[in-house]
Amino acid sequence: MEPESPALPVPKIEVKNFSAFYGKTQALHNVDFTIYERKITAMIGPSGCGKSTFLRSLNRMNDFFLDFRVEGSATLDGEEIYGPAVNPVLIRQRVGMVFQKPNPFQKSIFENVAYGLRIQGVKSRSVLSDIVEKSLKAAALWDEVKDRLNGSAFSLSGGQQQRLCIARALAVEPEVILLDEPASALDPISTARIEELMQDLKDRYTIAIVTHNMQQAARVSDRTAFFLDGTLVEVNDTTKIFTNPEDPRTEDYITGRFG
Amino acid sequence: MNFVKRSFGLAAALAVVSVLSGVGSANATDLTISGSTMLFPLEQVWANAYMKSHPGVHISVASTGSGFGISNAANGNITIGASDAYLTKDLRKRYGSLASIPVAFDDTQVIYNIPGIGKSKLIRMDGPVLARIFMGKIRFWDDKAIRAINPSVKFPHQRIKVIHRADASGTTFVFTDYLSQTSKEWYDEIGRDLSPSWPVGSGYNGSDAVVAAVMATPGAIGYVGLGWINEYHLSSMALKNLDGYYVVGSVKTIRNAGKAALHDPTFPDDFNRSIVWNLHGKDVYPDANFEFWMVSTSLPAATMLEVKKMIIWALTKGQHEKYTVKTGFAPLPFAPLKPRLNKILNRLLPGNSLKIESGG
Amino acid sequence: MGVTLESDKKSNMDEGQTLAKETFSTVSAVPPPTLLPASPGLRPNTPDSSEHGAETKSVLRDLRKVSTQRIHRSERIFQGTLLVGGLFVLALFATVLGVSLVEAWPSITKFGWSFLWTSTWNPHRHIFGAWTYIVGTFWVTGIALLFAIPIAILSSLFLSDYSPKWLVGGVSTLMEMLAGIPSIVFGAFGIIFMVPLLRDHVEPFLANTLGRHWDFFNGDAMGYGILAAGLVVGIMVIPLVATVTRDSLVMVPRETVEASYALGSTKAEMVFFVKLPAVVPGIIGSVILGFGRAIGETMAVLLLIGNQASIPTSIQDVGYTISSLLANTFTYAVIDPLYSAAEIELGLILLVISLVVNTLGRELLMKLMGGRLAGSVGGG
Repeated sequence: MEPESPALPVPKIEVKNFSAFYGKTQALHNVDFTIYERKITAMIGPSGCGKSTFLRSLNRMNDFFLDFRVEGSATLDGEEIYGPAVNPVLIRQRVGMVFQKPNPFQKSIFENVAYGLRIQGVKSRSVLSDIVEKSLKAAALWDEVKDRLNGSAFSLSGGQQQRLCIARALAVEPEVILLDEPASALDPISTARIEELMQDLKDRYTIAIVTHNMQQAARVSDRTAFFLDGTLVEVNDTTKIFTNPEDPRTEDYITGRFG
Repeated sequence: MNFVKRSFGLAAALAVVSVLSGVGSANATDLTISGSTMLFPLEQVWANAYMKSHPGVHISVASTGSGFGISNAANGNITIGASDAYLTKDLRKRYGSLASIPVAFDDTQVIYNIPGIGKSKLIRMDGPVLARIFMGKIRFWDDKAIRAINPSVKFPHQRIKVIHRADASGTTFVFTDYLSQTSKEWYDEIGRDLSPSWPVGSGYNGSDAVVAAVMATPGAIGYVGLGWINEYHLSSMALKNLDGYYVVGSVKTIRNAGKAALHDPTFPDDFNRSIVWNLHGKDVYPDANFEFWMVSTSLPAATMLEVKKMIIWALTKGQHEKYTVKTGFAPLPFAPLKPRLNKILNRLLPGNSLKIESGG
Repeated sequence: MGVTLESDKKSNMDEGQTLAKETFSTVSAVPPPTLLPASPGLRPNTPDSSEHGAETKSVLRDLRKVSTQRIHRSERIFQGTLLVGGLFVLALFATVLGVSLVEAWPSITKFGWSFLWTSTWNPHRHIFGAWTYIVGTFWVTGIALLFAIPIAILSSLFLSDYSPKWLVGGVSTLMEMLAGIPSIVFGAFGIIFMVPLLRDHVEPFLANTLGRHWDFFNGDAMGYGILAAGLVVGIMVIPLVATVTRDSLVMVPRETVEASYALGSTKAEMVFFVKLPAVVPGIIGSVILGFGRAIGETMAVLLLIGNQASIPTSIQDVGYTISSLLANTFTYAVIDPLYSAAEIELGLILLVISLVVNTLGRELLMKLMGGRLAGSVGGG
């Protein structure tokens, strides 16, 4: 659990002077922020602070709101995420996402995991089987579902469904995984399993997680960012944030004085 | 059972509901006429004229089909049932109480749409060939059987498309009666009916739809009554009559046929032979028919008196061309009709022979 | 009740206000006289009311007790009314079925099951068989559904995911209006538009292309026939299927759509692999509705099918459906008991087909929906 800080972390996503708008409403104000490779970055803050908007901006999931627009720069490996020639579909293949509510497809467990591969044109049954097995193992779900891969995804419990969604995201081998309050709808045991899983995945993936739960942020992340009213108040090593925050507003929030 | 039957009739023809409720009031001066769609336009102008000259009498007219007219006149649901078809032996057996009264002349004529053949060209046709066409045995217009009776016409090699009525129709009855009486093949295999089992072709609901389909379909052949021929200025085929003359249907040739029938002593007194095709003469159209009113002999006497008055009016003043010819019928000649009519009226109102004066 | 409320209104006002309001509005629906005797009888049963001076409380309690009775009574009245309505529908159905059976009985006993597969229909000779009409009915229904379903699904997908916003409202309204147009209008449209189009263009084209290899596409190019009838009935079915499909497309959770996007699918892939499978039950449901509409459609079919009692062997052939036969000849058939019995038996067959398809469709729907329902219950 203790965040280690290896020397020279590599920036994966760099955000500079980034603002986001829904129509006339500005949801993010000039955010400067870096997400490092193979680190878990947590984003905390009260409801409506912009942390989810920020997360969803990183793989262009906000594009579906017709009046959404951004200003400033956000790059993935140095490439502009909102560049004019960039296909958002390709961004999303590199930056996967797991949502607050488990949202499996109305398909079998196997087909849920294979979905992303199929749309990318993988047809070979053996390749699919391999990747599905690998992904389910990586999501720590394999042992529970290996005998009923053809069963409906909806026959799983909520915690299992969420791990299935993680497996589904892993199957397309993204570079970054965005988790939008992945455990908020789950019971404590399922939550613990998801948190464990994140530690396992950290070796191979860059992870960004939005959470309401400060203990969770403290437990799982290497770095923590605190958002308030659409601005990034503070970002730092998790231990630093939770023990000795620089900004008094951060301190107020983590000590429960508001929010 | 009878109630059930009646309720079905009702469901099938909601239009009659108002008519039937009129009967319920059982007022002798309320007359209801329902049945033949063909006769309907004439009955409408009659009803209007009659109600104007006979204050206090109320007549409602509905167009429900000859079959409905016959069965509902028999069981007393309506006062007068209108039918294009006479009472066949079967029907007479089933509805023994019905008397049929001829009220106008009509006919059935054969219309066509042959590419390359103009309206002015007269096409001749005889019963056996027409029957084979409507049985699907003659399939092209340039068939030698057709050419043989039309030596001066150059027919195209075009498929014949048979068009017939889909609904139960008096026109169909008259048409198939001609075929039945001129073609043994037709008589044996199909026969005469308001709704026979057509071996080929396509069927349409109503004469207007038949006209439309014939006009729109190259190669088509169909049949409609005089009223439609006049209304749409259609040209029809000349049909062969008993004496070998080819005659085109018209008010004149139909009347000729009717007169010939009424002067024919063998013609049945109860008029149960509608087709007057088998009559001699040069200008006698071979596929004419009477339109009938069916009246049950078991109507109450008071109603019967009103019915009798109405019938006599229809057969005298009602035959004026402004009613009959205008709506597509040929008027009946009253004089030769009178002796037979007397017998029928006697049957309806025993001891009551015809006095024209009472016709009003 | 009314009296209690009236006299104690003032003391009641504060605490009892909401209750009073609530009861007042319902009280008016029940005649007050029947309620009056209840209140004096109730008062002695609440002895502590005057002793402790808790006037408001006791009134409320009275109110509550009276309300209980009132609730029971109005409930009974309401239930009774509903029962009458329910029984009426039941009785109506039983009557239709019973009368039809009785009336069809001569035909049922005379022809037995062979009625179903006999293709002769000759009133003249008293031979009646339904096969030709059953086949014709299925031809028209089949063509209608084959034509309507893809178009309806495409249009509803377009409306839900691709159409510009301003178009959605207009097209949806048009769809609903289309569904409300009387069938005779569609029949007339068929005659003036579909028949010439088929006769002059589509049917000659079919005969010259597919018809060269398969007789099934050959024919006399009449315009009238099963194709014209099927297509026009299809047009009538489209709004039905499209509306239901669009409604179920809208119901696809946003989360599921986002999940697909987050996995790197394009819009087309999302629509095809996620939305479409999710609305399959809705589509099946609407197809069943469409089937019901198509199989019973009478006027439009009657005007277009060519009403010829023959079994179609080509898409260009004419045919006959059960409903158009009944419409054409039933008023005539009543003059002959066996003839009318045979026609009523045809009507019964139509009824049975609709019932069977509806039931099968519902079963299928339950099966397909089962997984989803289980999923929503088993979550957590």
